[in-house]
Amino acid sequence: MTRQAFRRLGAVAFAAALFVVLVACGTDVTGDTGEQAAEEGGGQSTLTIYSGRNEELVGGILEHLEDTTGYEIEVRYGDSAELAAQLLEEGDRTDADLFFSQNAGALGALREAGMLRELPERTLEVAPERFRASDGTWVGTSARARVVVYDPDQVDVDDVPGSIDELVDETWEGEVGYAPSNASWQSFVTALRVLDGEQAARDWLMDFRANEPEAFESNTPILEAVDSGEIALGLINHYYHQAWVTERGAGAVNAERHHPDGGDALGLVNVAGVGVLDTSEAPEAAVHAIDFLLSGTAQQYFADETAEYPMRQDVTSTRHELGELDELPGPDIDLSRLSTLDDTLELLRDVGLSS
Amino acid sequence: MTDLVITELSAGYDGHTVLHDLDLRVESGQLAAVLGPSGCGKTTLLRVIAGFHRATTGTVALGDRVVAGAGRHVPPERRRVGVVPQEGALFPHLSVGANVAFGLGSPRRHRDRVAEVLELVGLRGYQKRMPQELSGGQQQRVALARALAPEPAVVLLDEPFSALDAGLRAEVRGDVREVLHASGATAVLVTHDQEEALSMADRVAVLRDGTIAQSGTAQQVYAEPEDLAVALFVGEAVLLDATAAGGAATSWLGTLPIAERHEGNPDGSGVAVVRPEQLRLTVTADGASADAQAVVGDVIFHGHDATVLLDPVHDGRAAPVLSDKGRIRARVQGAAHVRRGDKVRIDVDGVARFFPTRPDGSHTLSGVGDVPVPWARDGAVEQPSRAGLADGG
Amino acid sequence: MIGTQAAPPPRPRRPLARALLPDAVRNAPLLATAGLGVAVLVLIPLGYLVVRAFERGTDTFAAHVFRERTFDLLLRSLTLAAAVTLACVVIGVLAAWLVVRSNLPFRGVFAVLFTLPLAIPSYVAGFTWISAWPGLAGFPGAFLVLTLVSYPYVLLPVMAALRSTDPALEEVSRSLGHGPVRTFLLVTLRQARPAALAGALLVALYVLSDFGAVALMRYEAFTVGIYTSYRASFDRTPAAVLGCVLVLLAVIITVAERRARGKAALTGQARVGAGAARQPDIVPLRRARPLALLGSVGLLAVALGVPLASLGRWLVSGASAQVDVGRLLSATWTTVQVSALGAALTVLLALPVGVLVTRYRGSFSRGIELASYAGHALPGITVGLALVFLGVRVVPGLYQELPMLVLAYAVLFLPLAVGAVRTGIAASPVRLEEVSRSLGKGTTITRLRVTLPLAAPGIAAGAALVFLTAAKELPATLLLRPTGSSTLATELWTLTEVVAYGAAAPYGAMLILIAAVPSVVLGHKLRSRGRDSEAGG
Repeated sequence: MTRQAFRRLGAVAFAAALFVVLVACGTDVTGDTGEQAAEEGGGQSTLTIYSGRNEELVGGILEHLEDTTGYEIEVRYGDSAELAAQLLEEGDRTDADLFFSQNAGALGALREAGMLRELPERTLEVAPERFRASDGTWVGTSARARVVVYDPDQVDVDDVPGSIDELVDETWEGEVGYAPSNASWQSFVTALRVLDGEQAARDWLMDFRANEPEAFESNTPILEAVDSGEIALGLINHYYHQAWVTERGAGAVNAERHHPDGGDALGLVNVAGVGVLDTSEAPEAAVHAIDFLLSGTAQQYFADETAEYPMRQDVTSTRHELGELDELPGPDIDLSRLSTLDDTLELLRDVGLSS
Repeated sequence: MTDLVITELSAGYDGHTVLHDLDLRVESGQLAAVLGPSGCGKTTLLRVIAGFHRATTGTVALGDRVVAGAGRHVPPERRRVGVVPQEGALFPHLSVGANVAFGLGSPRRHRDRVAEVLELVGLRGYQKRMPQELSGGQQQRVALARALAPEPAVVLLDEPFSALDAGLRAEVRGDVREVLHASGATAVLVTHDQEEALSMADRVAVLRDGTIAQSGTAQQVYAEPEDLAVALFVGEAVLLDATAAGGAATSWLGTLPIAERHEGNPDGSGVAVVRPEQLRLTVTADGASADAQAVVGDVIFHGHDATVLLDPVHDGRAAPVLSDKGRIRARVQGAAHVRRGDKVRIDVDGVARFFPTRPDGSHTLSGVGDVPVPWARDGAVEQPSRAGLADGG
Repeated sequence: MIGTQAAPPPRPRRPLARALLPDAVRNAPLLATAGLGVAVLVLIPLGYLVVRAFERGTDTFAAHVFRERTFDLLLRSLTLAAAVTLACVVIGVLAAWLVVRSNLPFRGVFAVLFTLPLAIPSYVAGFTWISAWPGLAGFPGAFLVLTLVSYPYVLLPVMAALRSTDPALEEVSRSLGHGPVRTFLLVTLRQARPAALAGALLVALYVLSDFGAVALMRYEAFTVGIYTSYRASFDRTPAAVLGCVLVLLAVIITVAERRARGKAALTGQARVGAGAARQPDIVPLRRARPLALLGSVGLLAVALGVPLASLGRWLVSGASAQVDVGRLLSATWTTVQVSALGAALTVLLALPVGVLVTRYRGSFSRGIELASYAGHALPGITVGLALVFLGVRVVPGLYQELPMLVLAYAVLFLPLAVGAVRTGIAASPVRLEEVSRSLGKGTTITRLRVTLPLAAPGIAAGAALVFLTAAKELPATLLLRPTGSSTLATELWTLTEVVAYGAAAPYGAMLILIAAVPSVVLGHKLRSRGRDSEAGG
């Protein structure tokens, strides 16, 4: 046999070996799922969570959940809406026990498909009534507020717009930063439609657009622009600002935030929430897990780590200056109604604010 | 070994018939050449014999084995038909040894056979070389060795020498012929080059329009062509307008004896054909110019012989010569004894072939273009080029 | 479309049942079956789409299709695809010519660097551009980013084609009085046309199915419409309807490409026998040389420099940049593993399709090839959800296991491999296969011992292309990865979503590094192809 034939044989052998190694390791990676299935049938001590909340934000507390409850936790991270779509496709064959969503809308979609189980009153009542489903199928775990950040060098605190009408005053022409592709901005517009009706929302958006707002890619560049005085006002979620203040120290951040007090959509307070799948084979354990997410420990975690508002009034962040959730002057709105995002996007397109 | 018998074979592509009612018989151990112009179906015939292409009707038999026909199509790998394609087509990723051993079982066990056939083709010790390290002629020999190694029933050679330069071609032809004879294999060589066919083959079959026009020994085909087209295709020819009567043809070159044909020679008008080497030229003395029949127009020197192109001296009759645009082509041995401008007398050695005019009037004097020769163009019959046509059919 | 064919002229003495079968099925039943299997596999997403699109009846379907918005999306996607494809062809052909045929300085280095943007995910490129120049949002940004990440799809095949063209044709053109520029336009470009068209098809389909760049640039293309349907209304019907339209669009484009390409692309280019193919001549650029150099550097600066600089800036400036080496390595390993398996399976599935298209031409083979392109035009989330739908019902044991993800990659990226396998097999002359058969080797052994080794460089190129594309894939990976495992792309997504760019940078860098390895191999392989193929693979 020629040398070349040997070389080729070697290459083939190497490729084959590599393939075997890859496959072997592949089964290794997924091997534990097999055990999980076995345990599910028996001890029911494994919980599968589909988390639309980012691993960076909630990974720590979900690990803590595992330690505390003794349940084996499998977490599948993804985008809230995509996970909702995945759960809808999986239907009653899903392995998921819990759906942990970034927003109420995705939970609302599952509720409408009849895929969520009603939670016990004891669990629900930890959260304020406005932050849970009216039929008890999901409960909020933490809240975030829309705020107006401003440059105090340009704007006096008393002049900061507190309502949607004040925001479109011609004083602020070219001075307002917003992030058109951001989900929270879109939720704000949805809230606007729900609260004031389609026509009023359209009129306001026309006025807003006429004021030539500055479009940004996301919340952080808005904050940077306000901080540097490039623009006077910015529409963002509270925790972006709070995280900056905590990270850099209050003295190092020029921009300040204001909670709009006009009782309209501008000060919308939205939640991240969680529900139990109707098909869960371990509903009690799942409710246990929710109880944990609403427990002092977990609520403290959200308040400290993600700078969100805890559901529990007895928890106060030790790291962030957050203020009290029930003192937030947000509008009174059924958050489940914020699931009509497609109409919002169509409206934004019509008005010419989508891109 | 095995003889190859093809009976009433038809084949084609997508409803377009390429071969029809083709009969061919190659005796065991013989080398047969299938000679034909481009597009006549030579390659299709080879592909049908090898099993690469399905026959529509008819049979192909190797010895007493029917490999194609009567509902059978034996796949190529079970036919024991070796193929030497154009340009060799060696496997570029395999060494010479591996190429030759390809049709054998394990290369290790057949090391001796590989050495044996390589020796046969004169490439002893070349086992480790890669194909691209070989010259064109060597590649061709390896391709032959590869085809011979599994001791096939029949070897097919598809224009195997077309890519070689002239000097090499003659040498490799000779070698291949010898090797094939030494191996005792029945072989079919496909070519458009009449010199190649005539010099190599025991038998020559002229393929025209998808069927065999004539088949016989090289001498037979050359000296006794069945029709005008075959006469023209297997070699250079001088075509003369003639009238036959009583076993002789009267033409511008005088009265020529006609070779016997088995279907007999009817009297009447037609075309007389002589080969250029049958013409003998005599330079006429200056004073006897009335004797002269032609003036030397050009002399083409080939080394071993020379071609002399002669312009006939007319006596008012139109185009007495039908070939070479009215010129006469003669071949003379050695250095030509004539020069341009010489006036010569022409004598004819041996017999001429005579082809009578058909009832439809083709190959009459005025209509040279009507001569049923596929390569006739522009109103004159061109000689097929010696260098070979552009591509094999 | 599959299984039907333009009836061949009737052949006498053949049973009717046999005559009705397509040629490919009759002559290579095993291969045809395998090809059919592949087609069925890759048509799974399409079947799912049809189920979803019509689950509320044809009226709903029609209502969603014949909406002004659908036409708007269609127009936007088509405009973008046309513009990007055109730009990619111009850039790809010019760059390929420069590195293969001109005396551009450092063209060896350029050949490798030019292919590297293939390693940059469109969402990373999109993010770096939009964060530096927010004004690019909309068509200009989407056009820019997609052009810069996808021109290598044209560059690679054109490089290969230019390398194997016969210089004699160009010499003839010059001798007939055409100057170098006219010769380039008349002869060289024509020779590269099938390759450029094949690349252009991949670019067009890629642009149609891309979500990352258009989403970041806020350009409302078809995929954005599809994603919006999922995200905004949690309603799968409109998304499926749009998906169907997208597939139809892909079919039209694929068929159009094949018409334009004609038969030229299928002719083999490898020479056998009579010595090595002559290396094409190098054309001196003369006064244009500095300009060409400047252009090349400029292209690299925007296509490679901008994203890399921005990654570098994240690395340096990120306050949150604490690299978790263990997590990085684990994600790297998972990425290598799933991408390598994806590439292996995709190439495996591409083999029968490639052999069918090159060796058994006809409507049957064409239908199978067409089917293999279906998945490529669909956004990852659609293919992902289709496999979710099917996996959980048909093979629950494999759902959210590695094989499902690998299968998704195969469905998504099959055309990349089919194209490469097709080129590879076309490079293996039929004549050699016939010789092998005449030497007593059956079809299968012939394929293994002759066709496969000769097609190996092309097949390897296809595998490399699938590998690096799979490494970048995000939406299907998010849906189908085994619970708890992460790839570099999913980690990158996780971290950039919480604006932890400093922490995300190492993942981005690693992803580009991993994807760069095959790009470099691809570029290098093509550069030295002339010599390599002669030395035997």
